[in-house]
Amino acid sequence: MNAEKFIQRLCLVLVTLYFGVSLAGPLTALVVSSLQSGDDGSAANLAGRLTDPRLVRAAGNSLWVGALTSAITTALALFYAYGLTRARLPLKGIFAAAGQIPLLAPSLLSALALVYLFGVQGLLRPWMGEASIMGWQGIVIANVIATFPHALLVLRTALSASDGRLYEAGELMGRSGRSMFLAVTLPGVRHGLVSAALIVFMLTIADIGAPKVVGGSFDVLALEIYEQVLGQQDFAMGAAVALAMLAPTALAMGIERWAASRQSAALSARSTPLVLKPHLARDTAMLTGCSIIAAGLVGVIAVCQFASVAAFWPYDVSFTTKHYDFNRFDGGGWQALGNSVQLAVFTAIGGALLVFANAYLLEKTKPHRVVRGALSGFSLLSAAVPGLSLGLAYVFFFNNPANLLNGLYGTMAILVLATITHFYTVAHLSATSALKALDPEFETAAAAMGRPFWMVAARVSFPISTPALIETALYFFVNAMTTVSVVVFLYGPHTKLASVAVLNMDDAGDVAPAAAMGMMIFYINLAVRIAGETVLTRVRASTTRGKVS
Amino acid sequence: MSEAIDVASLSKTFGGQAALSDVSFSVPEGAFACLVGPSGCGKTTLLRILAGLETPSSGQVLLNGSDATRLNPASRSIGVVFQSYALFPNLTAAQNIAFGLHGKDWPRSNKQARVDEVLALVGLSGLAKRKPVQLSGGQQQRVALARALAPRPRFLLLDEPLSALDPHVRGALRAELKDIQRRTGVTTVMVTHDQEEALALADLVVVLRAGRLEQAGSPRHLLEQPATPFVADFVANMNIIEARAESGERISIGATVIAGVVHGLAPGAALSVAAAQGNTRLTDAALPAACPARVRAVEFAGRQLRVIARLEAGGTLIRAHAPLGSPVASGDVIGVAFDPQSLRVYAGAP
Ligand SMILES: Nc1ncnc2c1ncn2[C@@H]1O[C@H](COP(=O)(O)OP(=O)(O)O)[C@@H](O)[C@H]1O
Ligand SMILES: [Mg+2]
Repeated sequence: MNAEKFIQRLCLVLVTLYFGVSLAGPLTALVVSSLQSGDDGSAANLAGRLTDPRLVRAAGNSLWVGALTSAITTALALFYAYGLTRARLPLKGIFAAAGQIPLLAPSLLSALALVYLFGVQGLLRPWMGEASIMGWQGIVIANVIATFPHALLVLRTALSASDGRLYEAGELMGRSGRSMFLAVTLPGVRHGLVSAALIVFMLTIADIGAPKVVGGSFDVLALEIYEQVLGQQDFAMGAAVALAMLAPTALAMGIERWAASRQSAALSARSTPLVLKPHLARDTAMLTGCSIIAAGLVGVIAVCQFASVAAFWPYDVSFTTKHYDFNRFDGGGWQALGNSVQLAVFTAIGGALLVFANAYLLEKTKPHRVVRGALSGFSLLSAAVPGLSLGLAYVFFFNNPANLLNGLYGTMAILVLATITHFYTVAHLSATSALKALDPEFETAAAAMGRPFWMVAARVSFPISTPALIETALYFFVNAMTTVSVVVFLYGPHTKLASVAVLNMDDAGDVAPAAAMGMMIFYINLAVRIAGETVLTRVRASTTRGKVS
Repeated sequence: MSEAIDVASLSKTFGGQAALSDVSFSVPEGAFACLVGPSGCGKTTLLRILAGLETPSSGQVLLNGSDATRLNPASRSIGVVFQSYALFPNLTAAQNIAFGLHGKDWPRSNKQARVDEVLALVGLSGLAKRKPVQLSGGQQQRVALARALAPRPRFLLLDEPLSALDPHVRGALRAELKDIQRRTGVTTVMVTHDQEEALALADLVVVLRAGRLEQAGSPRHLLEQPATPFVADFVANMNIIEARAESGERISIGATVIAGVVHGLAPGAALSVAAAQGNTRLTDAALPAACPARVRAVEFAGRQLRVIARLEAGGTLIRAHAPLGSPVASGDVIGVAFDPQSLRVYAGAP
């Protein structure tokens, strides 16, 4: 075996090990725990728990809000992504930025905004009549806002991979814009649509923020786990519900894989970039629609910002910073914000490198079929595991004295591991598509020149992919800052996090401080995002000069 | 007795699907060989096996007499030019070329000199600092060639290097490629689906069809003695006509009997006849040895006309030449006659 094969295998072993510790082990522990604990420890035990009427109702509720949110978000995101990529929209940069805003804030913030606007003491309450925001409708609206950027990211990428030649060919054949949309555009993003819908569905059913803040008495699975574990300390029941939550996600994953297998390459080496011609009707419709969506997204943040500096919303709106004096409230204070930044930095760097290394190994080194299947399976599996289930699985796996890695429990390391794993799939998909866009003969050409694969990776593939690498790091950063579900069972006394603090402060009735903390997370993410964009612009300018068009 | 490249009974299957079956041929030291055949016949697969980028399912590859079947690409002393060129887009022409110059044979001091040398060889001396996007198709092709030749490989492998270029550039580059090959003396195997290109460049033409070797030989050998109707058609551009053996030295095409054709087959056996276009004459349909045909198209072909006609017997399309100004038009019924001695006869219907 030569050095190249050896390094390649070593990398594969390391990645496999990573997935073993981060995913396979914890999930196994989750299954075992749901069967074992309690009085006798049998499958019947689990079955009994899973047929609990309360649980069945919560499951139905989760599916309903998940599916509805998924449909609405995907449709809106497709529209918005289409506007960004296929229409001549003025101020595209601003629209693109607005589309990402909810990503920068914890999903709770959109729920808080709904309370501020439509709640019992909401600003718009007088105009609402008998209608109420509390219940499934609140959860759906909050989640549509919170998950919008996730869907947008996937769909925008899918729509950008357009081959101008196809549209020119269509135009020459006299096909209308609408028939080209149906014949070329939609099939081209089919996989993106399914992925987007799937991701939104997962995020929604795993979300505890919105159900807690605007759910009222509407019970969902995520809340059920949370209550079982943190409220009643019934870990076995928690495990059972966490498993139950895996069923719909596994099904969704199956659909996603099916769609992916039917997806053919969107871009060939000879693709030409799409040149957009002005089209008044399309451009006007897009501008109007995108403006409404963007205004909604910006509005949510604006409301929270105003409310967080108002002395007593909505009665006394005089300016105050007292809600930002976090150390006066429970939740971890300013230290929690520091911890969150630390988590985000480690997650960004570790996650981006890991994702690219794994995607590179899978795409470019042609590992054995079985290894390849296992690694890409794991890469996609993480999206099938709702954050709460993953977090709880980590509790069972790591908080076990028999586990050599037991020492990780309650540390920053376990939070980083869980967060990378939770957000792995989307990053993996975009890394994979970035690498797929490279000429597959690069590695072969290098091999023919007697150069090992890592030379090509280091000198060609990674440098060309630097923009995608930075994007991935930014994606991990902002998600690590905002996630609640995956870390809510895992933080320790010294690793309290800002996003969890938002939840806890709201729970304790400190709504304005919760909004204030959410705003701090938002501003940190915004600063990082802007810094990231600046770097990206520079890097792109230097790499696109040498990029095959 | 061993040649520079010996390919022995090579087969390759992809998931049960045979891409190559039992292919054998040899390429002498310093020769220019062309693998030619229609798209999908296994040319690229064969080239990749020669390069060590693919392992054959069975059979052997000998390079300079020693078994190289399982040797990795780096140890084969090969240079490869890919169909897509596979130039690294973020590296300059010079950096692309230097990428393959590594190890103890290429200390820093020699590298630069060698890069300059091969850039001069392919006529791109001034463009060392350009990135691939700043080069035309033909220039990218030259960089790819320079990159393959830089480490002084013993073998040069090219996969359809000219097919992405426009015909004008292609013609010029073709001549240049041949010239560079002659000057460097590197044993070369080039894949092409263009038989004209193969005949123009190669010392040895290897014809593949559906993963099988049809014939290997010099261009002249293939043109004069095509071993199969496929070679006669694909390489020599001959007319292939369905016929039947008659007693004695006679064959029949439809109702037309042609005498003086040696075939050695039992009367009544189906056979295929290959007739060079130069040996396909247009005559009066009433002549006894002429096969009646209907003219489908008349085209200008240089200083003569090319007539495409459909034989009434069997419906085969045949091509023939006629002098400029011949009174032949689409729809005419004409006779097609052959010089019996120059016909090539193959057992079996086409
Ligand atoms: N990696 C592969 N996997 C499966 N089938 C392949 C692969 N490479 C080539 N083939 C098949 O082998 C046959 C020969 O392909 P190829 O060598 O590329 O043909 P050519 O270069 O002559 O056009 C084709 O039918 C092709 O589909
Ligand atoms: Mg080919």
